[in-house]
Amino acid sequence: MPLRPAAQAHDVPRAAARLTALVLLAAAACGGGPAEPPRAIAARAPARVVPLAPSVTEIVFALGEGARVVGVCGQCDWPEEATRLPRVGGYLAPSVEAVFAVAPDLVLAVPSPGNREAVRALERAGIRVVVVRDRTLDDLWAGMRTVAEALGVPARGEALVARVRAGLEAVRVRVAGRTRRRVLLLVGHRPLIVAGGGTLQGELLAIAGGDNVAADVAEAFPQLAIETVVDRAPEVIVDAAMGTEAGGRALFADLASVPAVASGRIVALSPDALFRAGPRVAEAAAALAHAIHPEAFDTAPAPG
Amino acid sequence: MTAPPAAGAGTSPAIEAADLAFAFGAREVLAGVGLAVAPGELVGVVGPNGSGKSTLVRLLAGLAVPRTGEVRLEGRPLAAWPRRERACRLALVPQDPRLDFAFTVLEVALMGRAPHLASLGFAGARDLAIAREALARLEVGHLEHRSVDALSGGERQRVFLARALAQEPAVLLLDEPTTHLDLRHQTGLHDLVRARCAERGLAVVSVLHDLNLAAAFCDRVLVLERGRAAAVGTPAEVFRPDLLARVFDAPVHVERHPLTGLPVVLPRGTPGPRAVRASGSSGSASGR
Amino acid sequence: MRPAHLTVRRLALTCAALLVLLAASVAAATLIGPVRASLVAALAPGGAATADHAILFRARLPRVLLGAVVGASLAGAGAALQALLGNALADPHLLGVSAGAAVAGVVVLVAGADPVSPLVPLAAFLGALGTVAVVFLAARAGGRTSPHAILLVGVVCNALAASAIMLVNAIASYTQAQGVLFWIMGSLSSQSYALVALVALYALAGAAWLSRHAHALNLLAAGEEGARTLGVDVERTRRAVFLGASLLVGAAVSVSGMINFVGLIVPHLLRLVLGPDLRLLLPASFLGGAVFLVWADTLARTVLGASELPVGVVTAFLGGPFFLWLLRRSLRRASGG
Repeated sequence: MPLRPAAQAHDVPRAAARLTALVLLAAAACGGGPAEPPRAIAARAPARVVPLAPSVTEIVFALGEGARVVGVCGQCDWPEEATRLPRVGGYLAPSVEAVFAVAPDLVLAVPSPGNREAVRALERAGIRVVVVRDRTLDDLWAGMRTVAEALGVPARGEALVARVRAGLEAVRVRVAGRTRRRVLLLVGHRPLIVAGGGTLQGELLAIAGGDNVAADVAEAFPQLAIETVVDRAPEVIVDAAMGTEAGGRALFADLASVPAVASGRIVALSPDALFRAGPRVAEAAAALAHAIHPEAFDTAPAPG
Repeated sequence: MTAPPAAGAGTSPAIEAADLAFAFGAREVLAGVGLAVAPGELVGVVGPNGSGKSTLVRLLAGLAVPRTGEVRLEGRPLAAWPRRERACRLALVPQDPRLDFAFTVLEVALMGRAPHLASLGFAGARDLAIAREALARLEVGHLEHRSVDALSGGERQRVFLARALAQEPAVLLLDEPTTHLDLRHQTGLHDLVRARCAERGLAVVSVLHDLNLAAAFCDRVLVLERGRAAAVGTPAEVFRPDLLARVFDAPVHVERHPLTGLPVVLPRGTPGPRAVRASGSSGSASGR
Repeated sequence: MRPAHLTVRRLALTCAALLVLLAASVAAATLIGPVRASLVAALAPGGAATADHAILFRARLPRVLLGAVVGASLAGAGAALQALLGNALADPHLLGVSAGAAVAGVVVLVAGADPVSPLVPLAAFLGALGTVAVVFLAARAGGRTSPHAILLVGVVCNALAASAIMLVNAIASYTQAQGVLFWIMGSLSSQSYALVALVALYALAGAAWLSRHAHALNLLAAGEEGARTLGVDVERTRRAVFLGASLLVGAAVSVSGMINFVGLIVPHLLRLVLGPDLRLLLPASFLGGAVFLVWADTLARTVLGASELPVGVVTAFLGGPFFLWLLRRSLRRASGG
């Protein structure tokens, strides 16, 4: 049974109810990952790199340093070369043994409740671990630069940042001038979980010309009552949840008062690029823009 | 001792058993025990601990199946009786009855009407009257509202007897009904039971520890010894010192009471300092 | 001090009162929620297209009704089971049926079914049926269904299911794990009226089935032998009640996951007030359980503002302390308090 691609690394949604979830995932939800290890004396750039999250894998390959990667997490599936590399365990639970087996001199990780113990074990063994945050776009730029520096290619880091920002800018320009549309970004069907304010996804939504109807909710990924969705009347529903497209439609089937349902604007998007703070965010933003403002992407020339 | 003498001339037994045997696995508990009780008769069952008294009662109640022999209720084998019908004719008061939940005294008495009622068992006026009368006769009527688990052991025993009487059975089986009862209620209970025997032809089998109670109230007594019938007959016939001493492994005096003519059984005890004292000095504490 | 015995009149009056309470609760709960909705606007001509209508009649009412039906099923099964096992601390999830339903539902979820798909409750119900068969067969020794054995086999089933679910959780993706957890914790959601009606009919059938044995269950309180001497077919009663309660629980869990404590708290509290006579306690538990869960879910829907809690969390928060209080009370009683 193939594993589903993991969602983006983010803190466990912190509704009080998630106590059980926290117990299950065996960590406190407070943010922040493992501390930066004392600077190992890096006489030369690391030759054997292990990224422990799909987003970081993508960054390393985007920097052109894919050749140095000797092991990846189980869910790392982009680019295609990454799939042929040895697996070192799941993104939520990396296998310390497997990491030791590929003898890295640099491990890259994102803050996550599931990998803390593993990261500590690696640090104790003297392996250099660099942690990059992945919550916002600012985190992304900083992360790309940090990874580039750790790999000894800072110039390429800057170039990558510039490239991705340009991609985002292109999207912004594409939908500029159009009235912003109210959007609901669906992350789970049942429970009904959406992207709230202060998330990377929320930022991409904004760039794509959408107004996140759940932007005012403090939690990153709140569970909403259906009636709240009805009340906020989104014009577009982007379904980036793990279920089927039919399931998403069934969820809102009878709610004709919601503009998105009445006009049939429920768009399913594949979650991968959208939930990884990596180099493909511009593509994710473009996909969002396509869903929110499809007319901006018609190639037919305007009449007259 | 196998064939019990026929009960009153001409009347068929309300309940009878022949050649009953029962075992728990390899351990034989009863063998070759027979009994016949005529309507209106009160038969006591006595014997030392482990002699099979309770097992006999359970077999008579149809709660266990004998290995050999059969029990007949009003002429029909127990197994041939449909459950409900049988419960209308045969009632059992178990030793030390308990309830899992806090039903009231009246509710427990009304449970006795269940075999006579339809499936949901709602009591009519007549059922209420019968239950209340039984409770009143056992002097627990005033406790009608009380929860059964808040009663003393004696009160609870009487409530369960009321339940059995409310069943209006033809045959009543009592398994040590007087263990928690004080003297007044011990005699009162048996008075009541005797009255029912006379009024309604109730046939009763009562397991008793107290030989004098048995002598005072029972028409006949069955003495069990290690699962077998050692003797059956009237108390006068059966309560002989040699038999009792053998069965109970305890020396006894048996006197004939001057007023009632019934046997009175007194434990003798071994001769020793107390006997010497009693014969010599005065006012020794020789019991009450 | 409660009346000395149960009359038809008292039964009818109590049930009528509870029914009124239930109707009022359903109405009130439908009007309560994190979002304002106007009943007047929804019922006005042309109101069917308004957001108010959608909120009240598509989002809230089906969910409230589902809560009532599930609560009824769990509490009714709980009352019957407590009588069957002779233990006031029994909870219907002890039967192990819930575990079987949960495992089946979880497997289907992780295998890729959408959580909204009807496959999930269907699979869960099949899982429940399978578990009932297993527990039933395993607990029969020599033609007798022993309550003791039922309990033990149920405990084993629960343990096995818990391990299975944790295993599945370990291999599932992060968001799948969320969905699985939500389902296991016990939660109500806005389902179709068709599904609600189906579960309601099922619950009614279950209630009727169990009520037929209410009197026999009363008599069972005096022990197996006591009941037999009163003419009860103990084996048949045990089988029927076990099956009825299990199927009720199976259906409830199939649509709402494992909502805890309802089947324990409601019958227990009602027994303290109404007495142990099941002819009253059983229907009262059905009705009382419905009221209880409707309000628990209302709390779950509103306590956090815009986002919501699964109802299983609310019942656990209520149930945990209650259970401790119960335990203290019975210990104090046992030591002669």
